[in-house]
Amino acid sequence: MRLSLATPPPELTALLDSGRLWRGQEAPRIAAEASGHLRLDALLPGGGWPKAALSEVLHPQPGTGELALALPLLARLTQAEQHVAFVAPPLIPYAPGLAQGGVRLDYTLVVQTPNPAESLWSAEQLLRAGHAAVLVWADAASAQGLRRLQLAAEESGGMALLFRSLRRAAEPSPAALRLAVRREHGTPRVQVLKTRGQAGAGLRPVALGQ
Amino acid sequence: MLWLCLDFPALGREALGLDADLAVLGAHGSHRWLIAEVAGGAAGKTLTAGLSLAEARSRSPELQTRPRQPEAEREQLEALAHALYRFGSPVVAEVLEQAEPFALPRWRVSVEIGASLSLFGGVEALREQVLLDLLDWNCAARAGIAPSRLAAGMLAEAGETTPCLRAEDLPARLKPLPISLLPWPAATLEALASVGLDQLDALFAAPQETLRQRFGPEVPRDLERLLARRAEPYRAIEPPPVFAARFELHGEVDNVETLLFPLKRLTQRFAAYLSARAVTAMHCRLELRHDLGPPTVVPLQLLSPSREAGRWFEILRERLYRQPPTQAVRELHLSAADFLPVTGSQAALFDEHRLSRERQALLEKLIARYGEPCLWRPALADDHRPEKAWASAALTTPSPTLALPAGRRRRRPLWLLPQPKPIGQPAADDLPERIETGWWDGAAAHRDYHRVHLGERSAWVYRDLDDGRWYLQGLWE
Repeated sequence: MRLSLATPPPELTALLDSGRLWRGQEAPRIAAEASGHLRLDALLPGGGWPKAALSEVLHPQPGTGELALALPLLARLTQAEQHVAFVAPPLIPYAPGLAQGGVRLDYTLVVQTPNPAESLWSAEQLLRAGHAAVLVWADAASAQGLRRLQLAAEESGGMALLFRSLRRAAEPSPAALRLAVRREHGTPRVQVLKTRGQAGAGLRPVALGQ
Repeated sequence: MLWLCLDFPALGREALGLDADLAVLGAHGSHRWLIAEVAGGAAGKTLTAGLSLAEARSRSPELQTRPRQPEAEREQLEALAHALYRFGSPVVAEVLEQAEPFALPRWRVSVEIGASLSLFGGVEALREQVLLDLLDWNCAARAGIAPSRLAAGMLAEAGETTPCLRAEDLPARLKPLPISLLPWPAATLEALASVGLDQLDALFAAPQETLRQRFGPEVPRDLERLLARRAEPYRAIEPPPVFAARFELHGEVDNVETLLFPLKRLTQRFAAYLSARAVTAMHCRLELRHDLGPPTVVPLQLLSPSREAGRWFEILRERLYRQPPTQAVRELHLSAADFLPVTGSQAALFDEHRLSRERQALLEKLIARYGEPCLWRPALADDHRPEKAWASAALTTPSPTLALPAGRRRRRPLWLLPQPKPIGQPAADDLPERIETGWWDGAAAHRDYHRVHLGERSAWVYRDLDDGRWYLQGLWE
């Protein structure tokens, strides 16, 4: 058998796709999953939510647009038969709305926890047990809790999406990506506060949608 | 027949879950004696089994003792018998002892392995596997293999590890052993020794008729059984149709750490039982019994059938850490009555999808930690009332329906409030969606729904046509 250089072995492909391996000749590639919002993806290195990383979504209050922001990602992952989880959502994730948005409900799990520390712990465990994306609401997350969540995402290859209040914007965060969702003239707009590359950060907010 | 016999010299203590420096006492009339060796007495001296309590106390004044519990011994021996089921059948569990002062019980489990040798790759491989399995039980055990149960037990007790495979080799193998290894009354053994018959070769050489006349019919009969020339009666262990195991604690226990050892023991027994019956289970029930008041009942649920002790133990531990017993515990009971057949494909499937197995183990842990209602899948329900158009589906039920019911085309929001919240009249300028339904179940809804801006959010609100008031029920994004 001849080894073809054009197609790397699957183990290598997997490593490259997980974003944990950098290739020498290229600029470091950031593995990402498209957010499904075209204007936002254009601003993000890798073109979407960073894989194997923690992303933070800051918003003034529940229902500002933060779930609409994550919806295309949830739809794509669950349709590819990957498991996603909501940990400690502030309201009921409404099955009819999720299903209309393309989310496969049989790949969607909700976990209600007694406190933010338990929420972060559960999210960590869910990532390590192979959930592709874990959405966790934990406003009062400790710095240590955030680092552990980031580490769990890194080591599992999954995506951690942490939802917190906009008031946390000034606090330091180990997240690879920080987004802020606000409403302007009645529609949600998302602003990139921090990314791993330089692209997009600090630019003016963009609208959600295709 | 070929028997593998396991002799458990310390079972009297192990059955009670005691440390090796505690003495377990046999009793007969006013006599008390040690039924198992005690390690680390005064100055690290070992106190041998059979020593009288008075003698033991004189050598080790601080010695702590417990009375023997034959019931607990029998339960532990049966659990070990269940664990050995996979190596062959019949399996026999027996306690050989004489009702006399200073008698030392022999705790033995024997399994007929003649038919399963090839399955395990020969007698040595099988023996090794048996001993490996026993590592989990953390008990002292010696194994002997011979064509009769009695001979296998003697070889085990004598520390003779080389198997004796053929009946014709038995006399030669047993010859050098002392008669004290035979489970006979002390009087018989002393009488035999007094005439110089203290080793088996002498006993074999003596005329059998003389032995019968002088020492009773049991002596030649047992020798024939020993040499596999006469059938040995036995009662095979059959696992009962339902599982029930208990563990009595020494005193009252109110911290979870101390409960972990008995829990491990009980789940291990459960796993051995399931394996002996070749079944699996998804539920079991733990009862914590207290001195006063009703027991604390802990029902346990797995997401798929299992017979792994470790998996049951994990969720039990998680549950107890989460909800520690509110009263001191006296006794633990573990029981199960519903079982499922083991299918080969199931086990294979688990091994292939290691990840999903991890996922499952985690979900079980989370259920044990937060309670079953706290883990659910959002599901669709066939009802026009928004609060009834969804359901939280338990993970233990099969996947809910996937498709949106036909004709459910109107857009729905992503968030729902647990309860509709009264609000002032909003600026609604869209055409309402009217929902009028539910008159048949007493929760009638007559509402006009609107999508409105409410503060900084896009809200799903309705006007109740009965009372004319406005309510917030969902948030769109």
